[in-house]
Amino acid sequence: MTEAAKASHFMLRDGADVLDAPWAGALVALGARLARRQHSECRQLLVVVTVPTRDFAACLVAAGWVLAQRPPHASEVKSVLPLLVAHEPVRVVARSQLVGDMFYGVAVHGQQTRLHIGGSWWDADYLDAIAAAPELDSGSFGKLHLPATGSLIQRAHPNGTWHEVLVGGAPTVRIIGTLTRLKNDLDIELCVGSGDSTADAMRDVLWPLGDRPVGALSSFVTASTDELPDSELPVKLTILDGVSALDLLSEVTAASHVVVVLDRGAAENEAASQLVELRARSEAASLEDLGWRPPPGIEGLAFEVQK
Amino acid sequence: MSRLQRVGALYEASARLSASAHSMALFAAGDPDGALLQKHIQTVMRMQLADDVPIVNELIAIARVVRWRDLVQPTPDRFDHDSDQILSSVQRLSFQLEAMLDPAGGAACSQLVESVRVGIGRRHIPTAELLLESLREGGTEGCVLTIAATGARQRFSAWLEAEELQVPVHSVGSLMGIAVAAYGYFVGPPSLFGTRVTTAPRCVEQSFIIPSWCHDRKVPRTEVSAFATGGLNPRVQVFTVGESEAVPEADGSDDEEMTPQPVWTRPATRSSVGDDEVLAKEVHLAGGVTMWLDRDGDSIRTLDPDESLGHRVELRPVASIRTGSFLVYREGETESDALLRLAYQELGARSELVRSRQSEWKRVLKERLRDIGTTEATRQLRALGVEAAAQVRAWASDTVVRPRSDGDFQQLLAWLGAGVGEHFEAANQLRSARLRAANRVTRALETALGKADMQKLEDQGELMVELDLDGFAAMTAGKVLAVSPHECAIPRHDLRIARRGGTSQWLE
Repeated sequence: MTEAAKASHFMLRDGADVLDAPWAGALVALGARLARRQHSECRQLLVVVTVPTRDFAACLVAAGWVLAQRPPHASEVKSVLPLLVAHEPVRVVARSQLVGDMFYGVAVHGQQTRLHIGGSWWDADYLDAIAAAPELDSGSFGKLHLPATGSLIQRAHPNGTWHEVLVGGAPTVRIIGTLTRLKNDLDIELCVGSGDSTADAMRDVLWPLGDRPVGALSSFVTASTDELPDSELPVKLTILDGVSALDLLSEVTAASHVVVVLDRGAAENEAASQLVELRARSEAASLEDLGWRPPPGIEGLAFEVQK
Repeated sequence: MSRLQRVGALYEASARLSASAHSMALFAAGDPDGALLQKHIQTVMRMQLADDVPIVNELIAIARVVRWRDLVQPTPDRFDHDSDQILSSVQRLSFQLEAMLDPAGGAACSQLVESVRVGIGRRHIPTAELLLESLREGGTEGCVLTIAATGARQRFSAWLEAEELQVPVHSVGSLMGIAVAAYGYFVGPPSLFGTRVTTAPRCVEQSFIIPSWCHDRKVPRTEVSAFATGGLNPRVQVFTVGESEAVPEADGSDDEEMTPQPVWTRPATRSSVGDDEVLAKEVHLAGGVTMWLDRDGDSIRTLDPDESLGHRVELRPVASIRTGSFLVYREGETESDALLRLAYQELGARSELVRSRQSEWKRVLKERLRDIGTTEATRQLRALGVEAAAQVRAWASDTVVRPRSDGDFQQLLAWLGAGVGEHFEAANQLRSARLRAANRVTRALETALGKADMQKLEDQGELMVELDLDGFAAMTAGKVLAVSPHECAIPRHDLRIARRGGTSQWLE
């Protein structure tokens, strides 16, 4: 199926409420395109999108980015085991649970390989995914029941690689915006295909840092800050949600990609003129090269700056 | 309409703008009396009579108010509350001008005076008649009316109700919050409503109603649209209705600002700024408040009523303040003064020591400035590598805690012969205390704004909020109505002080 056809079957759900939302599919596609793009160490790609209202937009782009993440090559459980270091934390998916705890060692009894993680022994055959998680502190250890994956995650990870993404580590996407607004967007559900497709909650795609213990694939930061926290995170994409987040543009130096979401329904959009000035001093980049075209009602602009 | 359906409808309404066949309607209603007023304003302005007789500017300011209300508030009662004041001012001016102008200038002004009188007496404005007719013919089902006039929603509602038409009346701000309406009427040209209306429509169909003498037919686009893929280029289709009139076009008058303008007096040119002076621009705020803002000054507290609760108050650079911004200020005292007071309170037992350390180096600095002057002081500091040396005069002020850069501050203290370590430490303690105080004020403001009526702010342009904070009882949020194009040298202690009254009376 082509990218366009997929997008046309993109739906948002909120309880019983369903909305056919090709524009939402396009915003997810933007995040996915950026994730698949070659990252540059010394240049930063800026993409500006203007939308009629800010609702969902930043989260949708982030969702596309997260869904397009691919697990590292050696990610099968059996091949990961020899790489694990005793007394270092790990993340594990097993029996629909995500577990984060200390790894103590492996015991082999005949055919059976068992792992000592936290207070329990786990049969290696039952593990869906495991990865070292050196960044996980003991305060974040715990066990979470994983929701069943819906149509969107299944389409993005047809071979079940989603669990490997989930154990894989720290957030690579960050949204800077208004936290209360962003948290409202987490309950929305996304699905692709026909009307009876299963859905994934935005929360279960983004796994925002601090929302639940153990796992995180994205991080949300308030725009009313002078300095960005968590500078140690390997953030590759930063999404600035709204004009108020734009003040932090100069702080976003590590990310190789920046998406600015501008709400055309908000006042004070004159601040966007700084983007036009910045573009004038930068190298033009085209959305076409990225393989993305904004849908009707969304304006898109891309350019590259030196980091 | 659920949140999801609303967002979907907003995207649909915006997507229609991308479709080339679609455009918004702009109805231009013939208005001979209004056209005459417009013509006379332009004549008097073109004659540049005010260069010799400054009070001509006052007459122009009044005429602009009349023209403005014809444009944005064509209800029959638009002058009910101030027609006496306007007429007596016009009467006084016309006496004075007669004696001061040459015959040609006098004739032009008396024609303008006559047009103003006619304008104030008019009960039925063609644009208003056209609006009523459209609502009656098309029906009011699914219609919303949006106005650009500040504080006039109730008047419009009452007028429509008296005409037995049930139509919700919105300001641009309140329109942005509605579920998508089928049909939107706008009183005034698209430029007055801005990009929010023209690029993020809240109505499926939009029609603007203007008098035909208004040549402003521009449709605002977003800042990025010209360079963007899928850039929105909304268009209007113009329909002329009723008797048209001959208003001279061209001579750039199309671009003339329609909004009422204050009577700015151009400052006498001066080559230098005095020692205790600073370059500043005057701004007019709603409620007849004026304030001087320093161009290169620190950030100033602003309010964004569109933001969600808890994120409305923000410190922004002074340079970003424009017409339409909202400032949050204290009357009678600058926020810097008040914050300094709070900061010393916050320091508690340490406040005495910090206060004396601060006054020590500031006293030496003031003496030094008095002895060698600002220019020499700046030169010497610059030679020492102090980057912001030009700010040296500001550093002597009590409300400026310390130079922003650590390096500059250490160099400055060394230059003053003041002990670097203890003064540096004291100033840092004060700076942190001030930051905490500023954060407390922000939180208290956000809490107070949570209970405040944002709609009132949007309608009236001004709102006072009570704060639950010792020594900081109330603050006012006010809309910026105009920013002077001229910079003046003013005493530093006049900066950012809100004053009521003055020359802003002919602003809406």
